[in-house]
Amino acid sequence: MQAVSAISKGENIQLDAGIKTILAILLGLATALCTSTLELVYFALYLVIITFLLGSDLRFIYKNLLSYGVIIVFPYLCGLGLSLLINYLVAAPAYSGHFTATFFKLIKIFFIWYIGSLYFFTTPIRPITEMLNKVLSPLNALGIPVVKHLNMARVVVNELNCSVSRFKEEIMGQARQNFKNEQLGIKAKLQGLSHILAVFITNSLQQTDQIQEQVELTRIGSQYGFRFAKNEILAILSFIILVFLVW
Amino acid sequence: MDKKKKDAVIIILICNAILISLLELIIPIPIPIPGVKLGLANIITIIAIAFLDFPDVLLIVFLRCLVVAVLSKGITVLPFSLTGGLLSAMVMWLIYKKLSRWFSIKGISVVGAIVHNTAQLMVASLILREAVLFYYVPVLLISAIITGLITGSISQLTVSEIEKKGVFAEISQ
Amino acid sequence: MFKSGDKILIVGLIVIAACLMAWHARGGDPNQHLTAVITHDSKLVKQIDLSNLNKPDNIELNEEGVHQTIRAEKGRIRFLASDCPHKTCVKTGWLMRPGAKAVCIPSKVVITVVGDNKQVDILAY
Repeated sequence: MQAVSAISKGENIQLDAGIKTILAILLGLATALCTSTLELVYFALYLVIITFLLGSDLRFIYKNLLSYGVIIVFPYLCGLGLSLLINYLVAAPAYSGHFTATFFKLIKIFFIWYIGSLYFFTTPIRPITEMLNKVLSPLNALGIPVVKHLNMARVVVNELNCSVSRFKEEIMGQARQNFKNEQLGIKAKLQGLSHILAVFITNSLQQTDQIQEQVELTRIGSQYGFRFAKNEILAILSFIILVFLVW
Repeated sequence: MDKKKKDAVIIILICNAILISLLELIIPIPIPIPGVKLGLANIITIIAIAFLDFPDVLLIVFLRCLVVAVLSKGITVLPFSLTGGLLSAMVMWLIYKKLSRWFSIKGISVVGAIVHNTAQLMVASLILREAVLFYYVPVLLISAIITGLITGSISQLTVSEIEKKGVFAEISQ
Repeated sequence: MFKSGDKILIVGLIVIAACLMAWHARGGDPNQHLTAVITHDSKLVKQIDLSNLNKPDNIELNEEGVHQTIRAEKGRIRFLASDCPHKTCVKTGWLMRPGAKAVCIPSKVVITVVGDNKQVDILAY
């Protein structure tokens, strides 16, 4: 099978962006509609398999678990802890929430998070933007210049890649100086920061001409070519098998 | 301001918003409650409210959330950040345009922080269908006051400095 | 630096936050229709409409040789006294929320407070 040989060769399987997007969305929906633990186990296995097929590794899974835990689970636990604390202080019985159900939901949401993360991690930006361009261009007729917005987003990303390091050195350096200065009070520190920011923003606004050039340069082509080969068929098949198992 | 120039301004402001939020790591006033951010990107939102039109403000918030979600590969935060960001931008705009007599930018910023956090809490409790999150509300209110005041003071000073330098007036020519 | 609206806003918010904390401490949503269900060995003994209980009521029980007194008041219920050895049921205190429970293992008596909330477990198994 091509998939197995790909893993053994250490290659990644590249999928056509459109098919990938549709599958990702369907996978997410399927996860949301999942109703039993067994089905979740199937999903988990499936996700682990495609992780390896698409070229990532266990570390990727681990990183995702970590960030999900920090961003979503931890605040939830804190809210829970807070409510338990309040209940304890007032000598009322413990919070009778629906722990199992919520735990379930948290896992499902993690799967969806993971699908999104994997998708963006393994698909290069170019095909995504080109595909979005093609798909969303009918909206142009409705008066929302989606293509222009997409273009602007692309320019933002490019600009950011260029300016981040410069920003980190200059502005953040200044900001650090500002706050390390022990003599100034809070008010003066805030004023200092605002000054730094104001200067930064005014300077940046001087660059409208360069940016306008950039906008022209990054004109996204609609060279989106729809590919439908062995890989895509395999992917769709595996998804159908999964759905069949789960239903 | 002709269209292309305005687009360029919008792009610059979005970049600024994302870069400025990196500063949150430096400002040594951490509130030890998870999920409480200083929200420095709101400084840009307020600048946009002060100097640009409403559709531009919404576009800036929208694209900013989108780019951050894609770049950080954490696409699932989108429903939270979008609802929070857009709703708070709308409310702040309203207050700025209609009620400036009673509210300084500091107060507007506090209201923005509250709307933002409450909206995110609502989305979270909708998804989880748990009311336990509402215990968070008092904490949320207090932290919104603190972060709102800090961000608000910075925004206020920044806006007046920008106004003094006449940058936007310059660009319009 | 601060305009009048700002000051009112901040003071108001602090007051609201304080009130919310006090409200949660006292027992949450007062608009719920609370019913207490008393069971012995999982069989229904008595059902009391707590929200509409205007006069406090004492219920005497004597199950499994354990004499107990349950006190029901408007919106809350508890084990008042019990002959069981550990008196965990009594120590549980007032039950005021939907889902709140007090259990006495020796007497096999359980008090459960039930609300009319449609927010049911999504225990979709």
